[in-house]
Amino acid sequence: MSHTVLLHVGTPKTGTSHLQDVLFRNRERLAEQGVHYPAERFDGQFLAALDLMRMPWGGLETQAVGAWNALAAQVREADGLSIVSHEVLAAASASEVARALASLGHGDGTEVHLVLSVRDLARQVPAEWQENVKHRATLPYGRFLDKIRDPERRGRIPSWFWAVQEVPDILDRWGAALPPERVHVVTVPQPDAPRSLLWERFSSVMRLDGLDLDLDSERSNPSLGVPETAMLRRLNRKVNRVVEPAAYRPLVRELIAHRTLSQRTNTARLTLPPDVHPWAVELSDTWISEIRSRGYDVVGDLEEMRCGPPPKRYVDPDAPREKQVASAATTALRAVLEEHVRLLEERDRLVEERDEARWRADAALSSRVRARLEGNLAGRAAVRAYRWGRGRNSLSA
Amino acid sequence: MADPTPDPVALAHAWVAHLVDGGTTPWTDVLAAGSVPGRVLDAEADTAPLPGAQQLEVVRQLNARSAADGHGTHDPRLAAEVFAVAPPGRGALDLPLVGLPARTYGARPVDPAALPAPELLRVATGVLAERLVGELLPDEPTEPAARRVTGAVARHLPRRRAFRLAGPAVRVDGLRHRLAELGRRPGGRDATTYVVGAGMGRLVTDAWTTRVLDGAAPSWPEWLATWADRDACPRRADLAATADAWAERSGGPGRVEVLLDPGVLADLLAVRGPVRTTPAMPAAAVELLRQVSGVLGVLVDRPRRSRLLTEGLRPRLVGAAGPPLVVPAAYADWLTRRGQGLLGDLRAGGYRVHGPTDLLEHPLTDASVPGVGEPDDDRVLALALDTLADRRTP
Repeated sequence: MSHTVLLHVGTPKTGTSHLQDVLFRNRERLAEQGVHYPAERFDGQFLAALDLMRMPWGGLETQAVGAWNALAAQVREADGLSIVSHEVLAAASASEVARALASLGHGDGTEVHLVLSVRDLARQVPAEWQENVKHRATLPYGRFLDKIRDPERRGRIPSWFWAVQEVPDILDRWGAALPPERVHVVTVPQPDAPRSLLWERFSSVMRLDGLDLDLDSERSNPSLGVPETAMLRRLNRKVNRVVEPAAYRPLVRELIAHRTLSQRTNTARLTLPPDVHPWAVELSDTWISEIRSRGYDVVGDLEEMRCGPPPKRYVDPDAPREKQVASAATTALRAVLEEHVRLLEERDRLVEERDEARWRADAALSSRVRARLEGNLAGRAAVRAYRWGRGRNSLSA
Repeated sequence: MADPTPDPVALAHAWVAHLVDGGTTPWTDVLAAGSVPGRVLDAEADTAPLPGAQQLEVVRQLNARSAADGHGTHDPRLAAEVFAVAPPGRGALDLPLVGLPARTYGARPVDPAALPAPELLRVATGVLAERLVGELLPDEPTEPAARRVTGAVARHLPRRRAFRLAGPAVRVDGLRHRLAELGRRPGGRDATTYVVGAGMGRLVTDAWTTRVLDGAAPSWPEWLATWADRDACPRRADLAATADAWAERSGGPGRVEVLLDPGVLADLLAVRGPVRTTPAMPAAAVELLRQVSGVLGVLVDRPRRSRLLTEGLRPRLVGAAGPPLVVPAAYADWLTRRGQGLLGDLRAGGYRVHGPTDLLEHPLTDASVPGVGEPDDDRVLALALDTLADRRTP
């Protein structure tokens, strides 16, 4: 029976990919030090979350059948500290939360702690739109902003946005059954803070301080600039109906967005438009007051949830500079071509390898057959007859 | 007489209890009256979180169905079953009831009776999927050993008018069954393969239905737009590709014939009695299958999902009323182009085609045949609730 479970349920775009990569790549090292991060593959806990929430995800959900129960069983069997972390868990409903907590041993001797990492809305709103675009969305930024600010919240996009970003509501759903001292709110530092500060906060709340870990991360969820996101949205409109989700993920999301366009860091970053900024400021202030009143353990400073000043220069992704969009497009095209060339070379290499293996197998077989035939009189006669029949007196090379 | 200032939270809990007992009073009526029929409010009675407005409305509508059938057949398990399942997939979380103390954040409180059908459908399909998963399916039918042996022998013997059927499963399965009733089983040496088709419009809707029964499928408009964008024929509707595959397997195009009207099978096989395909399922039934399939995808593996849909849910939907799905007139040009292309491919392949080829050359859309161009959410919801209220096994 695991004594303590740290359950990190979001929010998205708060450094979760980096944290989960460090935990996954160090899982054996962590286990030796009494900390369990149950996952057979990098996205193992993501699949578990999809299973818990009955959440379709472009076909990935078919790999998630039974994943939550398997994860919970591993947690219950482990001794010491177990960590469960995925940001889509933020969208769990009250009944899913109850099921999750019970399955992890809450109320049955296990001490469950909730961790929620949070960031100011002025950065979260544009990041969420960009995340939608990286998941095939074609919705313009302005329309996205209108939808999420509509109090009716009708439709999938606003429903999802608020489910994973409305911090007090997430804390209501996930924290209602836990004492406030076991609810840990980790704030993401402002952009000018040292890069290591967020990790230090995660490390302290996850009880990883002092453990021997490799912190070099291979994965992150990097952000894109304005023209890059605008280009990607236009690309989605062209390819959504011809590229299946299983191909979109490696080709568009990983190759074009993450590995290529995210490297272009000298273009304008996405921000809130000046007319929307006050709305985010006001909402954040309400949330800070609400969270402060609850007596949770705050790791960092709730003041960091306050939105900074509006940007001095706003660049609208719905009306980008076409020259920059074209530049992003050619950069993406180059990456796709390079990948295509790499795959062609790989195909040629594999064909060559296959032909060579086939030739070797044929040669080995004919050599064995020849040796056997040459070993007896009848065989030698048969070989001679065969050569005569072929019209020449020696085997071809 | 009702309490003049009832605690709305106590009122809500009493309303939930009323629904669990089979009540049908809408929440806004309870709120306006300040009382729940037949219940005394008790502020201490329940402190558990309230279910979402979507779940409560689904229970109320199910109760209304039980009350309307005149048998008083309220099933006390139903409410617990609905409350246990969170609405699956993306959409609103548990919605708060209008009239309760408001929070400064969270979704806006709602009148459950005014919720749009898709929100209620999420709940209903979630419950249906959970119920299907909990059911035992009969074992896959296996032929008795003696039949297997005679069948294996028969497959290699010449037989008069030996045949086999190919084409979309939703079309072929019923025909195979009907022919078996008439004493004709497929197989035999040198059998002719009959590829069962229809007019181009019906071919497309059948291909769509087959795709839904096979597993995850996008929405009908999305699927249709994808194929139209590609200006291609949906794979399951491509009779020429099916014919080619069977020609290669069974000895050339002379062994394969295409039927645009399956009724001609009676003459071709010399059977006594009419041979017809089953009518198309109502659009709402196919859409319900699709939505339940989406939830099943997270609960069971693909083969079991397909069996649960085909053997568990589809039989419950047989006889459901409602118009079938028909390709919208907006796609007439694409449909005509594909139909003519298909006919050209069949002729180029050298296949004999039985039946009215003008249904390929000039396909019908929702402008010319009865049906709907898109499933209607309200009809799908009504069918989902009827299916949930009816606990009969298929």
